Amino acid sequence: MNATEIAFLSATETARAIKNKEFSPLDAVQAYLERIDRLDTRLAAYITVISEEALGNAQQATDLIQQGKDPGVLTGVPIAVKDQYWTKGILTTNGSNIYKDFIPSEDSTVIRRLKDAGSILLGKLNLSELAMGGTQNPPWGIPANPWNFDCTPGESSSGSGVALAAHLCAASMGEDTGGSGRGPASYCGVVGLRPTFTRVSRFGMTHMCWFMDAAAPMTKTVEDCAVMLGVIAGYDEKDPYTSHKPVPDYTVNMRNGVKGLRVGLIKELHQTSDMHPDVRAAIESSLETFSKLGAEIKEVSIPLAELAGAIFVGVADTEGAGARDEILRNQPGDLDQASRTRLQSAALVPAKVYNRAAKARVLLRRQLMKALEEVDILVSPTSPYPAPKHTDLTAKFENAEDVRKRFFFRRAYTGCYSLTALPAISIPGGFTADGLPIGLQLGAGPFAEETLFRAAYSYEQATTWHTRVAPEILNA
Amino acid sequence: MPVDKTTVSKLAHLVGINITDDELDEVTSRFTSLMQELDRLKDLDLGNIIPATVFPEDGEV
Repeated sequence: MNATEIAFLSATETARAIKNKEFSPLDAVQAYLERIDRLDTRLAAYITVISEEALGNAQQATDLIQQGKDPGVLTGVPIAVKDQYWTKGILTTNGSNIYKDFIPSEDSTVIRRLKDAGSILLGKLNLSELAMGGTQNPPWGIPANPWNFDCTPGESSSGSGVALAAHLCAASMGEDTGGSGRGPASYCGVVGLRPTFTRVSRFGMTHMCWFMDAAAPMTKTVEDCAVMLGVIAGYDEKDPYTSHKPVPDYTVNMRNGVKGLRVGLIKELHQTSDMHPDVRAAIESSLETFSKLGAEIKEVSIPLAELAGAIFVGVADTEGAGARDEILRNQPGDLDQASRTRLQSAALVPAKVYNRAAKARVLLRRQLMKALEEVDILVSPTSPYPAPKHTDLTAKFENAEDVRKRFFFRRAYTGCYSLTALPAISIPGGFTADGLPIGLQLGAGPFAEETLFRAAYSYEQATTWHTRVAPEILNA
Repeated sequence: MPVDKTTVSKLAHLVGINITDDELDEVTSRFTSLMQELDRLKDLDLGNIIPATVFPEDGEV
């Protein structure tokens, strides 16, 4: 197998091949490092690449395998993580000049667990400043969507989406507060999971909104995502909000199919006239696919879904402004202009308005839980439109209606699950006529990730979207 | 209810943050839009709801 073939494998395929000694961890790491060196100047997926450390760890893993040892389920698999996770001794910038010199003294729990499973860290991935989105002048370059370099790869886990779509790593960790993992997954044609809120530790992850931030595995395939979640999930004494619920093997029931599963289209997120026609067609086609696979399809109503974007911003941005109060007061000039104005506007929200949004969040949860009595899986696009151009995303807002359309509207789709602590996954759901990926978002009840993976895997295997490679990457 | 730049500037001063003159328009636009969107929540019956930050594992609130 040549280096390109190695780099195009999924994480589980890589782990299997390494276990079967088809190639070594050193071969895998070298394959990815060569691609990063050749392609990333244009793509800006990485902030820090730890070549020497990665090669050293890969050699160690190679030696262990030669000795007949098997350190873990991800042994030798080259991964990269959003530069929001603490990595011991390695620069962790949070995409901001504020943290340009921050070197953590310990790993985050997620990183430690991935290392314990045998994975090899290649480096830290680019992100929007402080994981917020909308950064106008990212200090470490503007990540380019591999499907169209003029388009955004999505935010805030931009580098994760790019690195996966361009095969610059085998698997990645993003983070998802309001859709920051699922959004880039959608725009880059890869998989992104937001687990149930208390499923995975957030220790060692810089916070935006402490009760909505979630560690988000982002991967090339659904199976990879299931494996990653199995590695990182579980109680952590360093994050007291993590659940004591046992962590299952998420791959065990994944191949059971969807016969008899009840799948519900969220009416309010589908009826809008602002949805891109190709996205609408893709969602409707996905329901046909599920139906052919034996699922029962219905429509459900979540009346507050349309306001989820506003509720999310009202709660999360206000929390974020509180968390960044010292920065806003003492060093606002070190923030990107977009981050600064966003936090400043959120800092002015009156307490009673925040309180109203916090209550609306509970009402939204009740509506979603009621809908989940009728169905097992909720369906919507991850975003109502494909990846916009960079210039459209970062253009200054012209008026209040412009803010509503460009800022609140798309956040309703991912915000529904962020606000309500429920798990949701974005998987490749098709392509627009212009060749841009469309994300299909599936949601489920608390701790129902196994059901999510079952539905996602069935759909993935019944389609070929996940096998496509961006033309510029294929020819690179 | 639209909020003008003067009001935003005064609010920012009370909160202790400084908004530069050339960014006041943008902050005003963002803040106005946020308040307009959140104003729609006034129509909801939220009287008997207690806000939650973390939801219980068994699902119900």
